[in-house]
Amino acid sequence: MLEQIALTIVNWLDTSAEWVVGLVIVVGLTQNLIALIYLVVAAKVLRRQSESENSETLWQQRAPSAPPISLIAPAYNESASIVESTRSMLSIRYPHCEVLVVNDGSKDDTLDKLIKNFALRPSARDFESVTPHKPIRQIYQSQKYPNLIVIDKENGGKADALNAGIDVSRSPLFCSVDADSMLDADALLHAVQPFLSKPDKVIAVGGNIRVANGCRVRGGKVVSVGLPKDLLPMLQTVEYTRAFLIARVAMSELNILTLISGAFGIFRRPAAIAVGGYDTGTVGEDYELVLRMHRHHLEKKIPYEIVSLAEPVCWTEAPNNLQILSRQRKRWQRGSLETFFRHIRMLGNPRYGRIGMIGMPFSLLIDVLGPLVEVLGYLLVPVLWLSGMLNTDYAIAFLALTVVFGVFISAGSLVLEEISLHRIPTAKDLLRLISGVLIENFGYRQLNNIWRLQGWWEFLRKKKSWGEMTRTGFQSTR
Amino acid sequence: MNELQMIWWTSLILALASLLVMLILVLRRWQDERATVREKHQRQIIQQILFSYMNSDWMSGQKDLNNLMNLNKAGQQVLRRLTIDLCYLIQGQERKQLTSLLDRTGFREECLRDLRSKHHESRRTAASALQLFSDDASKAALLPMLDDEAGAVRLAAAVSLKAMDALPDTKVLVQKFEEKNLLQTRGVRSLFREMARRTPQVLRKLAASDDCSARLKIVIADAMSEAADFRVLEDLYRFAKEGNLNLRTTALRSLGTLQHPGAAVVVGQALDDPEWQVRAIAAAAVGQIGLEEFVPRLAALLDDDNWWVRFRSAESLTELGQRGVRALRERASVVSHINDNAGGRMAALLLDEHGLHELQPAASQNRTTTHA
Repeated sequence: MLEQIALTIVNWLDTSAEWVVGLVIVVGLTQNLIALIYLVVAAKVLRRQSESENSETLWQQRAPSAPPISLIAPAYNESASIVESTRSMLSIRYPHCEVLVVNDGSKDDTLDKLIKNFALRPSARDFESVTPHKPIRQIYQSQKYPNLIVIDKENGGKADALNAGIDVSRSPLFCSVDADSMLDADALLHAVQPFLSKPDKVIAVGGNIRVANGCRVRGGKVVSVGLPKDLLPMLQTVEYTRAFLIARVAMSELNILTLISGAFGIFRRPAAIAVGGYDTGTVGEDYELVLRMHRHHLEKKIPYEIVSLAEPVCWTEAPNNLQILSRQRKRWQRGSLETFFRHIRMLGNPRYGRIGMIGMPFSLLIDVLGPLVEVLGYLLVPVLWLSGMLNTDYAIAFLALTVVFGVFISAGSLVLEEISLHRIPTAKDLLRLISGVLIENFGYRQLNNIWRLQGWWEFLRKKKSWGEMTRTGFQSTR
Repeated sequence: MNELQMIWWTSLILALASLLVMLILVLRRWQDERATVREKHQRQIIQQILFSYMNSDWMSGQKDLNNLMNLNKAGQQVLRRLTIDLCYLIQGQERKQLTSLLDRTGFREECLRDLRSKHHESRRTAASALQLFSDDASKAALLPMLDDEAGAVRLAAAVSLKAMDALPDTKVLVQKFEEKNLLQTRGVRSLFREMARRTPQVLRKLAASDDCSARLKIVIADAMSEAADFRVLEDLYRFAKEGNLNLRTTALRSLGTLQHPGAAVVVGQALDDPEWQVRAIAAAAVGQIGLEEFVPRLAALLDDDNWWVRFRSAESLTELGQRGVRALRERASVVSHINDNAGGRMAALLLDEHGLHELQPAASQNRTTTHA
């Protein structure tokens, strides 16, 4: 009898192991297939795009008809980089651009630094209260730069600060930027193109985020592009290149773009107001807003387009230690899950067109199930191997295929980078990046998935905070 | 081949492909780096010869020209890029000199060839670049491009033809744009604005035609804001009274930009429009034109239900001199029950924002109105 029970258990375990391993393989292969589709589509898009226009041509072609834009930069404890990044925003080449820095109740001297460096004076500027946010304590206007406004408000989080910026802005377009980021001087002239060519349709445009660590920064501008010297930011450079040159560009082309990064996105103000602005109850406010805009337009049957471009570039400081990086990744995962489950009724719903039928299922596979399945694989493979339930030959072969496929996709992203943007400074840097492509599969990728799993856990525990993000400030050379 | 072997072979092929791709990238980059250094050096030399050619007399100019024409293929490419950059920066005789030089390098011929390219981006670039030349062959080659399958090419051709003063009949042009749904694009708007500056009568004729759609009227109304000929006002007055909301707002915006006092009647009527968008733009136009007689009506609009109408009215009052400021100050000092005194708060804030509190002492404090 006992023997029979033991046999049944062993059989059950064997069958279960087969199923779980099968699931891991199927999800892994599907993810790889999606990555391959993205690569092919992105290559097609970037091939047909024209060569980058030079600054003078861009200005001549677009400045006369460029609509006003408000740059909104929420800042919370950004004392280390706020002056540099505000200067960067003020140096942007764009005919009608006001810069709104929102001090979200910082505990450090962010506001003092702004007041001192930009000669701020209190202003009684009035605004239209159309989105929810914590009370504004004071609005300041710069005596040096008429287009610089600083909003000092009670702490309410990034989404809350962005909403305050939307309220105070008076332009038809607004651009959300992270206060620790720096836009290329021509970034807005590049990004405004879809709004010019399809003014009745385009409601949001996302740009390309790149890692600024290793670049030379002067007066708030990247004057010379360089690769990070440290390994962690270098591996993130590989990740960002893959995400912004392949995934976002392809998703945009396929009309399934569900995310415009909060670090750099331009939105039509009335369209954002129509959906109530940013949701202050999630840490994935950028993903949530874009998905809500999709939902609103699809439900009301209003024609629209949401676009991601490879050319407008925004530089950001990538975390340089594991602790900060892990916090960032956990928060991203939590934000993705919060948004996904909030809009889960769109999943597989034909009413929501491609977003419901393709975008959301892809998101389910990559953002929701991806880390669970991959970590499950890490745990099960050694256990099953030790218990003799795993065919070692097959396990090793699949592992090799997964790694090689990851390298192949990353190599593809480098090709796209070289044919479209050409921003990797030297052949030596290119070699270093290639080494990053190989290294990331051994340790970094696994670590990332473990952080994402922790993000899952935080989501289940309904954790709401952002966590501290310590900035070192850009390495400025004067 | 069994399954296992297939997996290994796939991995091997992908690995080799990745390595090969990365190797090619690095080698290509090394080659590019060397070429960039060479080109930088070459550009400096060519730039010197080019400037010398532009500033010299006929004799020495011929020598420079010969030097430029005898450049090798790579040098010719550098010369071409340099000349194009300069063409967009200068005007007049020097520009003509440069375009003639460009022509000699074979650039015009290449553009004419590229108009037949199967890549629409090449056709667009070529159509756009041909505006640098004004010869008949370029004009003749550009005209068929208005029927191109790509909207961007049609637009680029139209812009170039406009620069050459060779646009076809406007109705035909509009039809070409409408076929590709280009009317609302900023590019077409810019083109129409340019037409309004130079040939407003053409737009007037178009606006008067029976088959002029509301979409086209909006583009015309927008362009008319750039017209120097005040006869366009008649068209704008008509547009400002039409049923289409976008047309009414566009016409009023243009009237505000043109700043002609004759628009007073139309703008005054628009202040009572049922749509808030129209009231807000009409209120802004009052300030732009400087219609002081509307101060009482703007003061009344400070209590409008819509924030933008209140804001634009208050903003306009700040632009209407002492009368406007006085009205704002009076409204700011009065506590009203309408819209929770939104009008009073708006007046006070605009006075603050424009630093106008110090101009005059408050007329009265803590007065309460009872009008509903």
